[in-house]
Order: sequence, then C-alpha cells, then structure tokens
Amino acid sequence: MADTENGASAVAEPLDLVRLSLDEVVFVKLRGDRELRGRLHAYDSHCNLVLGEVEETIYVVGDDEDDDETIRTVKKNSEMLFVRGDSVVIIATTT
Amino acid sequence: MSFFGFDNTLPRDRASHAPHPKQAPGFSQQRDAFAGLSQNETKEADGYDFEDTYDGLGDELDEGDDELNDETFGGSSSAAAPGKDFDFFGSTAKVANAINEEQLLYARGPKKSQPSQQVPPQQRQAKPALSYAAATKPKVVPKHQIPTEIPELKPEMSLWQNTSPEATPTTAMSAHAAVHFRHVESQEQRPQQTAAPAPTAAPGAPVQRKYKSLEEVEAEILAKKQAKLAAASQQPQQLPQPVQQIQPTQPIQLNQQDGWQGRPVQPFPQHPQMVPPHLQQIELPFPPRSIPPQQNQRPPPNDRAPEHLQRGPMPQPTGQLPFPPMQPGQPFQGNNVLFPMGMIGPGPVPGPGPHGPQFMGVPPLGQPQMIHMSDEEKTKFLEDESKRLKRNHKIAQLSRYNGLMTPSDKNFITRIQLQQLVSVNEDSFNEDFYYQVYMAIRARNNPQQPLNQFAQTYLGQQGARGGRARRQDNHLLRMQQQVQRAVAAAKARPKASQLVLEGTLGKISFSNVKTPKPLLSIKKQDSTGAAADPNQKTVHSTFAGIDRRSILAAAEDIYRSLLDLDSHERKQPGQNLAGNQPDVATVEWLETRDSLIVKLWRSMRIMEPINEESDAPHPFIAILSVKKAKEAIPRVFRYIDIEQRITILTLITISLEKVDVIKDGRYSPGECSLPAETKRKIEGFSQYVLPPLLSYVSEAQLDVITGLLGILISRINVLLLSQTQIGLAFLTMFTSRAEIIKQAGLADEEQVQNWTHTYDRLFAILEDHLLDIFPPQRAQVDDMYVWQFLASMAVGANMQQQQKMVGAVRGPVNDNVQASKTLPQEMGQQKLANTNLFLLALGLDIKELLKSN
Repeated sequence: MADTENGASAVAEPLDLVRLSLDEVVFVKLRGDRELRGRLHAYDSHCNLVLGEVEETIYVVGDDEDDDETIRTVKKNSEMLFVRGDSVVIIATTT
Repeated sequence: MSFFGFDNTLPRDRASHAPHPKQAPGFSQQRDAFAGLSQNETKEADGYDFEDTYDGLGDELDEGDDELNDETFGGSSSAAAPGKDFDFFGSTAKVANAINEEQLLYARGPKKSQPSQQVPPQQRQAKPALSYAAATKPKVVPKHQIPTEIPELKPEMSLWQNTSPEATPTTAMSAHAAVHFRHVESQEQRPQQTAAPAPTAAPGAPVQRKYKSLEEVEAEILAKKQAKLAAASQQPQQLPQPVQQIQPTQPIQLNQQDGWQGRPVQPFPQHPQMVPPHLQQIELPFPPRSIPPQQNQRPPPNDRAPEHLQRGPMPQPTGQLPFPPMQPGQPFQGNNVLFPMGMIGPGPVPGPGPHGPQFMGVPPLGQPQMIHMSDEEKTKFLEDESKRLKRNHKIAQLSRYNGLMTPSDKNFITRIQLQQLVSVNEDSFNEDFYYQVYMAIRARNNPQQPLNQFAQTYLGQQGARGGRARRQDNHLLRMQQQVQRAVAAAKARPKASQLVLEGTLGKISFSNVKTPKPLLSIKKQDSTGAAADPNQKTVHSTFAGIDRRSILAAAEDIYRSLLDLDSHERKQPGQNLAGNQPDVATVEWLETRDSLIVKLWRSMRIMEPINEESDAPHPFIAILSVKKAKEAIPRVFRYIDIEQRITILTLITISLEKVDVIKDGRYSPGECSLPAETKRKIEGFSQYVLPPLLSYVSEAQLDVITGLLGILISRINVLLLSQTQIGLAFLTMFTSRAEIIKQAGLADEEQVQNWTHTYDRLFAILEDHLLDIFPPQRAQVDDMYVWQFLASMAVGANMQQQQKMVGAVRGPVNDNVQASKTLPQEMGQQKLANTNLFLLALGLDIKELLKSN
C-alpha cells in the first residue's frame, strides 16, 4: 500500500535524484579539474549547491619545473560552500 | 604693431620686401581678389592707426552707478548661484519701461554726446551719403580690424538693440527716411561703429570666424567705399555682391552651403535663407556681425531645438535682451545699424512668419512718429511694447522645447510607462511573504491574542489591503487589464503546429520552444507503468533497507508529506467564534489534514509487516538509519496521535538490535573509539529520536513500560544492547520512568509486581556483565550515560541487587575518583558528578569515598 508511492513517485524528474541525496554526503565533480565531497544541504534547478563539511580536491597538472606530466592534488576543506551550478559536471552519491 | 602675430606689414611694404607675389596666395593667406586694389589706397592704410580707430568713446563712459548692476541683472541680491541659464531678460523686463523711457529721452535729447575724436575725414564725409543698404553694414570695417588694444569688455550695445522700440524704426524705414535719419545721427553713429564692435571681434567666436588678413580688411574697406558710393546713387542692392565674393571661405557661409542649417551651431546662418533674396544679398557679407551677441545670449538648449529656430522668431530672443543701464552716456541710436537682421526690426507683429513680407507689408511705428507723439501716447505705446515683448518672451519660453522628442522617443517613454503600470500594479508586496508576516506581526497589537486568531487577523488584513489597492488603482487596473488582454491575445494567436498543404500526402510540423518538434514518438508509459507497479510492490515488500536509494527515496517521501502537512497547517482557517459547530472550511481543513497525516504515516512504512526470518531490518528502521529521517521524527511526532507514537516506540524497541546506532554502536574488542560516522549517528539519534520517545515514555503508564521492557528482554540480546549508548539510554528510559511511577504511587499493586518481575529479569541478565557496559577505559568519551543507567537501576534495585551492583562497579568508581584527581579541575568535577549520580541512587555520597581515600 505504502509502496505505491515509493521511489517511482519520489523520482519524477532528474533533479529528484539529487533530492534523494539531500543531507547526504555527495561527490561533485566540477569543471576546472575540481572535485568536492560534502554534505548536500540545498540545491536548485540550476544545480547551484550548498555543501557542508566539504573537502575540495584540485588536480594540478605538474607546474614543477622538471617534468610537466605529474599531477598534483591540492586539497582544501571548507565548512560550508556555495557551488554555482554552471560549474557542476556530476553530482553523485557516495558509498 | 602685431597683436595676434599677424603679419601686419602693409601690403605695399610687403610687396617691396617679399618676393612672394601677392597674386599667388600663400599657405596662410586667403586668396583675395581685391588685395591688389588696396595698394594705392594709402589713405585707407593710414587710417588704421590707433588714433584713427579709437574714438575716445571709452573715456566718456560713465563708470559710476556700478552698484546698480545687481538690480539690473538680478545679481547677488537674489542670492542665486550663477547658473547656465542667464535670464537677463527676466530681470530686465522688470525695468523695461524705465529703460525704454530713458532711451527715448536720450534719443530726443540734444546731441551733446559728440565725442572728441579724430575720425578720418574721408569717412566722415562718406557718412552723410550713407544709404539704407549701407546703413546695415558699415560696422564691418571696424569689426574685422585687428584690434590694436584690448578694449574694455563691456556688453556690446548691439546686443540690446532690439529691445529699444525706437531703434527699430530706422531699419524699417524707407530708404529715404533712412538717409535722412542717418544724416541727422551720423555723428553719434560714428563712434559707436568704431568702439562697440571691437569687443565682439576680440572675444567673439573665433571658431567660426578667423581674423582676416590685412588685404581682406582693405578689400572690405574698398567694398565699403563702393557701397557708399552706390548708396549715394540709390542702388544699394547691387553693391554687396562683390563683397560677398570676397569672403567665400568664411565658415559661416560654408555652413550654409553644406546644409548645416539644421544644426545651429550658430543660430543665425539660417536667417539669410528666410529673407527675401535681395535682402539676403545685402546681408550675407555680414553674418558674423550678429553672431557674437547671439551666441552669448542664446541659452544652450536652443542648439537642440532646430525646429524652433526655424520657426524663426529671431527678433524675439534678441528682443528680450535688456539694455545695460551702466552706459547711460553712450548713444544707442547708432545701434540700429547693428541690428543683426539688417533691415528686419522687431516689428509690431513678430510672429514666426517670414521676415521679408513682414518688413515689406507692415511698416512699424517709427521713431520719427514717436517723437511727435504726446507723452501719454508714448507711455502707452511703450507699455504696449513691453507687454508685447513679455508675451513674446513667454511664447519663446514655452516653445523652447518644442519638438525636442522624436516620435520614437515618445513611443519609448510610453512603453516604459506601460511597463511600470503593469509591474507597479502587481503590488509586489502582496507577493512578499516576509513582508506580509512582518506587517501582520506589527499589526498584532495585542500580544495576548491567541495565535489562531492572529492568523485570522493576518488573513483579514491581507484581504483588506488587496481591496484598498483595488479601489485606489482602479484606472491602473483597467490599464493593466488592457495590457494583459493584449498579451493574452498575442499568446492565443493560433499557432499551428502542423501545416497540411492541400493535395499533399505528408504534413509539415513546426517546432517552437514550448512544443519542440517530436523526433521520437514514444507512447506514454501509463499502461506499462501500472502493470509494473505490482512488481515494484513485491520488490518493495522485500526490499526493506537493502537498497540505499529506496531508503533515501522513502525519507524524501516522509519529508514531502511533512512539508505538505506543514503548509496545510498554515492554511488553517480561523476558529469559528460564532458557535461550537465548526464551519465548512474548518471541517474541510480537518479532513484534508487527516488524509495528509495518513499519507505521512504511510510514508513512514511503520505498519509494514516485520519479516522475522529476514536479516534485513524493518523498512522504518532502515529509513531511520538516514540522518534526515532521524531529524524528521520530532516533526512527525507533532502530527501523529498516541497510538501511533506507541507503535513507533514499540517498533523501535523490538527492532533495537537492527537499528544502526545499536548495531554499530558497540565497541569492538581492542578498539577504544567508534568510527566518526557512527558517533555522528549516535549523536543524531539521541538528539532527534530519543527526545520525542522520551517525552512519550515520560507520560506512559507502568504497564506500557513493563510490556515494552518485557518484549525487549524477550526478543533482544540485552547484553549486546547494554554495551551501546543508545541501548543503555532505552533501558534507562524505561527503568527510570517505572521507578518514578512506582514512587509516585500512580500504579496499582499488580502493575508494580509485574514491573518488579520484569526488572528482576533484566537485572539477572546484566548483573554479571555490569563492567561491560562501560566504554573502554582509554576511550575519551563522556560515560555519563552509563552512570545514569546504573543510577536508574540502583534506584529500583532491592538491597541484594544494590550490593551486587556496588560490588561490580566498585572498580570503575574508584578509577573515576582516581582519574578525577589527575584530570583538569573541570573534567574531574564532571567525572565525580557522574559517579556521584550512581552513588546517590544507592544512598551514598562520593565525598565519603573521597574522605576514605
């Protein structure tokens, strides 16, 4: 009985998938070789996101003077982050 | 001497010095066909000495009475900062009568102002012969003269020319009269010609008019002479023609020629075109004359209103110019020669019509006539004149901005106004929730007013506000409706999505934003979706927490229902104050609310059957593993009734083993801390789920508690439970509540007995494992919950049980006491307090223990 309004009704449009991840830890891939991992507090139709307890990973292609093929990662932690939607590539659940 | 760096050697000298032939124009020289003619005119050349040109008029100026300037020009007395709009007329108009009278007086007075001067004799001789045509232009000569001295900068008399009614007649007079008049006045005219124009030439508009070379000046003089001769022979019209040829490169004329009249950089060039041809001929050589005063006086806006200028009431603007009263001794009569339009005076009918006919048809009242008037007539005439001037001024002021806006400008502004109408009318405040609430709160004068009535007030206000706005903006509303109708009509315009041409087999389909052209035709999934539903149902019955996505979706369902309910709650209609019978709206609202609560209840999946065999937790328990679901519990408890609360509590109790915080909440052997995630979950559970449960338990009857504890003991591994924080919390919750009921005497004997029995069972299970309930020694956690549990157990325990407990827990108690001494003051105190909680329950005190130690 309760099942009739289960998952199927909860996910009616693509962004409902994001809705499922509300208050969950999500993985967000951004343009510019950045990735975020944090708790999704809010989102909107533009994929603007508010994330909490975010760990940001930036991939930098070797700016060392020797070899330019190495990939370094820079990590940053933020308590709260607003992500503008136009840079969002992927929003994925973790686990 | 060369003042501006011009080559002021006389042409004949230059001819002797310079090898460059005059006939071949140099780079800086303007070609001057008449340059050669002047070579023989030694007398003319000599005439350019300072002594000749300076008439000594400046010595005659009355330098006094300067203190009256303010009165005249509206100066400091008005305390107004000097703006861009110099309203000379405005202030002068006030004294127009006086000026006119003064002027008249002067005109009639004796010609005493004959200045002592050294006018070249030949010029003086020429004067009497001056014709009407010549009268309009003799100033040319001095004007183009290179000033040998910086003259005092005083407003040129010609500026005020048109104001004087008696000045006009001269220009409008017939040639005969002009000659006659001129003859009489030539003596005053002479100095005026030489002295007055000089200022205009120097500070005038150098952009439009560059200084002429000496040759040109001489040529002009020659032309003038010829003009004089011609005037003497009564043939004025033909003479200026050569003069006109002399200055073909003058910028003003260029302006006229390349069609720049529309942009009146200088307003005057237009006029020659409106003047009948023969007049124009006369005037053309001298347009620069009128420019300097004009440019000084015309307010800048006029430059932007060519239409207005083309209407051409030139005499009007000039007519506004006041007389400078600071030059009382200066003769004005000569000024009419300087009148910019040449022969067109500010006639009695200064309409916007063409000037020529006006001049021809309506000979204005001349000065000679005026002189013969009686005093009364004169004053009357002057009054009329000033009135007329005022009227003209008004008209000019009003029409100054005529035609400033093009039709497209007007359209643009109309559009903006329409838009504003629409947007303003929407009343943005009505849409603003926060504004509404703010206003409602502010309007809630009486703080004691119950909240539901407050809601009524709020709603009522909203309605009233809307009504008022409607009344006020009735016409605006109509306007808006019109616009909306127009928009709707535009929208409703049939948009064919397909075009079927007659006689064709296929059809052409269009696409637009709203209905894109379908590239794939996929049937709606309704039928298949319905068919798939049963399958899903079975899946879901067995799913029960396996699938994380389903859990999340279910949690979202709960929230959706909650939000629906919340928003519905806000729509609660006000209480019916009239009677006890609830009105229709309330009934409807309650019905909707009930259905929403049912929906919420369903979304929580509590009533799903418990699958005994499966390891999978009950759906509700699975959902509860999500943090947001935990957070939803307090909100759900606000809506559900007692029965449902018991159900939830029971379900959680019997499923405690499967609740994640219990399952993962045990310290695995060797570990001294829980994973951070689990810690957070435990925190969330005790923060969100426990309080509502506790609030229910704290009101529950003893038999409910007994029953719950009985189920718990029989179904759950209490030992495992006791090793987790949440498990202990549940046990504490039950035992403490039971003890409170027992001590308060709220339960009857049988219930107490049942409880005691259940308690004994619990104690029996735990008594040998009391040490295990403590978190690992090294775990830096607050073990208060343990002591709370022990305390609640100790209160309900009999003497025997208490002794056992003391025996079992003595170690941790002593440890705590020892640790509190090494720990910082604050933490030590807390540890002691925790321990003391248990000891107090036993009837002991930690102080005794400390003393004994």
